[in-house]
Amino acid sequence: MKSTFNKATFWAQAAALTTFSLAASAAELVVSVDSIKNDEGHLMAQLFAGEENYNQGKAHASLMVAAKQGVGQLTFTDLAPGEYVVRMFHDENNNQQMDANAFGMPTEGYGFSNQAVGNMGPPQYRDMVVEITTAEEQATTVALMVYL
Amino acid sequence: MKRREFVTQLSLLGALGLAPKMLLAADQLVAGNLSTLQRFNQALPKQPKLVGYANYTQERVVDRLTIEGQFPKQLRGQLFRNGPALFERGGLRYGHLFEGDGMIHAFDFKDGQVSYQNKFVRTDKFVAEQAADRFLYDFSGLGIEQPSPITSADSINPANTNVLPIGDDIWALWEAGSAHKLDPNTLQTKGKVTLDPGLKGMPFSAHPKVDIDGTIWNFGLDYGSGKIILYRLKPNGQLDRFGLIDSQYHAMLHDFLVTEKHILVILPSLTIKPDAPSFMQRQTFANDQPMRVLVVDKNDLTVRSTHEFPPCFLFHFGNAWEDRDGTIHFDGCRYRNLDIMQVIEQVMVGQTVPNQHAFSQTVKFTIRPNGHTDQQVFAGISEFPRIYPSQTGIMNQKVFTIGGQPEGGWMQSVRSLNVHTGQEDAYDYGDDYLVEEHIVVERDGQPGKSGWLLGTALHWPSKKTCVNVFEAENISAGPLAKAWLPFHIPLGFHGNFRSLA
Repeated sequence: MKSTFNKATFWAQAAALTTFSLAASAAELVVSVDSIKNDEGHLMAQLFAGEENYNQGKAHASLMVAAKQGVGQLTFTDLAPGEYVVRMFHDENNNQQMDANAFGMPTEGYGFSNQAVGNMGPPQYRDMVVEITTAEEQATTVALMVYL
Repeated sequence: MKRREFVTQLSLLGALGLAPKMLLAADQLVAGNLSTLQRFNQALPKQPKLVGYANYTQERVVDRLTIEGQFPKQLRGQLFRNGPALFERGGLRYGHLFEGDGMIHAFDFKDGQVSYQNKFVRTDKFVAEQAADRFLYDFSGLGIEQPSPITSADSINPANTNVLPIGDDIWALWEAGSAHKLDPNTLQTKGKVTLDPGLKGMPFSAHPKVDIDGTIWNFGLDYGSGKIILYRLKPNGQLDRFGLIDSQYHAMLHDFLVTEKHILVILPSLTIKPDAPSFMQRQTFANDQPMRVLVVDKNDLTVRSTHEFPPCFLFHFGNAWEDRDGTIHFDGCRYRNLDIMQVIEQVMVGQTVPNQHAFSQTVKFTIRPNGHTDQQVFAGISEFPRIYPSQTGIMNQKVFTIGGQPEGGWMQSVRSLNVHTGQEDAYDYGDDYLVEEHIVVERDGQPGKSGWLLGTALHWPSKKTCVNVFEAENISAGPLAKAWLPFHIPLGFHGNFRSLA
């Protein structure tokens, strides 16, 4: 009994260690989302690795979480060291696209890492970029949702 | 995410002049704006006329104005006016008149008495800046510290240009962003008007046109793409239809016209100087660029023909109509160039410029069925043209404007002009007055033939504003009555009347 218990504990601990070591070997990026307008729909977030991928619109990972008025949080895991950019929009009507008015201006909320907000266009890459320098890093950033 | 559109459209904000970092160094900007306020304050005692452009923050109610003469008992309703009023916060003064926060003034006419109240439109900008007790948005290089990002035109929407009764509300209008809905009795702001989820944040110009059947037409220009949205609304303000046309025009566009069958999108000879520090300063007169008229079919909102006139600039148009043979006539207050913009800027630093440097005259433009165009200029200065409302889009005889003489001071007279015969009927308020837009209120049962001309004027020596009523068909006889506020209100832009039974 005792032995079995020990064994079970061992495996449990081993599993925990494995989890720990996996987490330790790949960084994660925690994104806090500020100023979510309401509980409707979802937040659709994309993570880009590096400027070129961002410019080409090639996402490294995507996340979708239910919208909750106020602040929210989502986490990208298993990230190698490098530069990352998060952009997201609030898909209030769940149509999986960022709606725009007849002139193409976004009519759903949108946001970027580092609370970057463009003033005469989209934010500059350097204002949005989050750098992850080590494999153990737990980086954080805030995206501020902006609504028309 | 439709990123391409998103990026493209965000970049269009640049065309609106929404750049945070202007070309001048920050210290120059601060010095420039301190001197704007200082220069205005220094000029004001020497030039008391400037009181009409002074910063104005009071919201008030006056139960009974002091009346001279007799207001017609049949004149029942409210005259609403809009104009920029708040120009200064935290020691900074706006460099352009068009930037001030919009204030709605309501004159209520009932049983021969007149009451008054005024309120700022509670735009997002006004509410946020009021709470912060400073300017937050640096639209034109004010040099404010830590400016908030301008994420859309509505970030800086001052709702300061016109006010129009629509349905049970009044709409405070600007030209580059959303209309705002207000309660006509309390002047409380109800919020931005969104005609359709897909039209959120779209520009809705300050000069809608109301057809005889109550249909409301309007436009909005996207400066970046040159696309123009055309709106058709039901009389209650609900969206009926909209269409997009490609104008290839990217500069300031203030007004338009309708005939029975067509919408006239009239594009003055302006182009954009891309490196100028603010939206207003980017506006450039192109003396080799014709004024273009896009004739748009009201039924399908497509451009049917395009016509050209010699280069000129206009803010405002009076009316348009079509003859049976398809000839289109329209009139407007035409400037020979864009110098008027400098005049408007100069008042912000307390400088007044004589009329002869920048004045507008009523011009009647004609487009023949064979495409030939011609124009007829009427003598005298004219601005803020209005007509009998029931003649919108059909042949009118008269256009009512404020005016003056080129050698004279600022606007000091009001007149009607017969655009067929050139006959004038005018009244000169005299040098002590600065006259604002006067509008026509029709008598019941006599559309287009009889009514009152109603408008405000600032008596600058006493610093008091009066509202005046004339017999529209006998202006030269002078006002039938004047109602005096015990104070002045800032010189504004446009207004409209809401008749009450």
